[in-house]
Amino acid sequence: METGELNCEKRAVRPKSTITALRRQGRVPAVLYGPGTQPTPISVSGAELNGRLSAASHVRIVRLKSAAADIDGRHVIFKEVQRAPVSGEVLHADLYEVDLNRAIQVEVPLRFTGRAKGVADGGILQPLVRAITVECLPMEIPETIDVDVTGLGVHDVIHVSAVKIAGNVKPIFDQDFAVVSVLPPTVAEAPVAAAAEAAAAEGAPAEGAAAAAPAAEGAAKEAAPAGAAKKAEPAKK
Amino acid sequence: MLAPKKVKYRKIQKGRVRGAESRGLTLAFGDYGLKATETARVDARALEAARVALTRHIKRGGRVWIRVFPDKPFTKKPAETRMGKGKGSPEGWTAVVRPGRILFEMEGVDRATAREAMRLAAHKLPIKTIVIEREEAALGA
Repeated sequence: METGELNCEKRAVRPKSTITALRRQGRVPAVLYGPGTQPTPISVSGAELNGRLSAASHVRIVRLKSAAADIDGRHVIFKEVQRAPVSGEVLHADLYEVDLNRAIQVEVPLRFTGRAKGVADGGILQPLVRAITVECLPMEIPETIDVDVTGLGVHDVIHVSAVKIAGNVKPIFDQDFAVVSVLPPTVAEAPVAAAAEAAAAEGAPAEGAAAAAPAAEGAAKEAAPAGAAKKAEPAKK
Repeated sequence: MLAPKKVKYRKIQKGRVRGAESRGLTLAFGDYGLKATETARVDARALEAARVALTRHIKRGGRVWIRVFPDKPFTKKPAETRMGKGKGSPEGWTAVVRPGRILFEMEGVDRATAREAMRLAAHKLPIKTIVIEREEAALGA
């Protein structure tokens, strides 16, 4: 695996206005830490950091370049990056120092290859996790882990234990969780009139779902606003 | 329409929505998402209209997630009523949305269809939004 380079400088922690001033100059505050390393506040160029982050999938290890001798030449990975809620601008980065001869645990993204049999039958490929944790030497971190989904039919599941990983890379997991599945085909929404009739026959369907619950594609639910509106009123105490 | 099954208080004060969102900022389920860039209380009817617009456009195939839930009641006084005599009766539900919040997510459709569906859904909402994509989806992987 290739390594990148990142120029950095030490920065003051107080007063906080120095951090605002740094950001105004296009620099990003960051912190460098690791096992046996005292946390050191640093700053990096925003443009350079963005370039490193966009290449982070294939260049995981970054070598720091600095005028300060105690941080120059250290190898780090991006442990965490804080971003602005709307603009996505990087606000702060955590750089974790790694020993190139010691195995570390990192998350590696999964890449689903091939066209699943179930997708050809109209199903939807549903990745249940997008990355898995692996343990390996820093220079052997794979860019992605390929998961072949070609033989996956509707309702079939690939578990993490079945994921083949090349090289000296060990997946870390407690439970053998599912990685990807194929959902059955969704039914096209029926015309509103037909759905309204169906809703009237059954009575208004129960409303309310968890915040992140999948949106029901059932047309009956969509076509019962009058009944639902009554349900929507909070219960009287 | 989305509405809570049971609430502790039927009527609550309106309050003010301040600041940016700190949760629900990144895609958790799908490859595409609709992100709010403004503050608003989004009515359950608007969310439902947006959901219908999304699912109608993608027809079959694809999956949609709603990442907000309208759990805040709002009240309304009857027409031609003098002020006073207490708070109006519950009229509906709203979701408090701050800038950065992902409202909808989608998966299982191609990029062009997803973007068009999100654009149609955005027209049903009272706020400005942006369409975001997972990085791999943006690269067409």
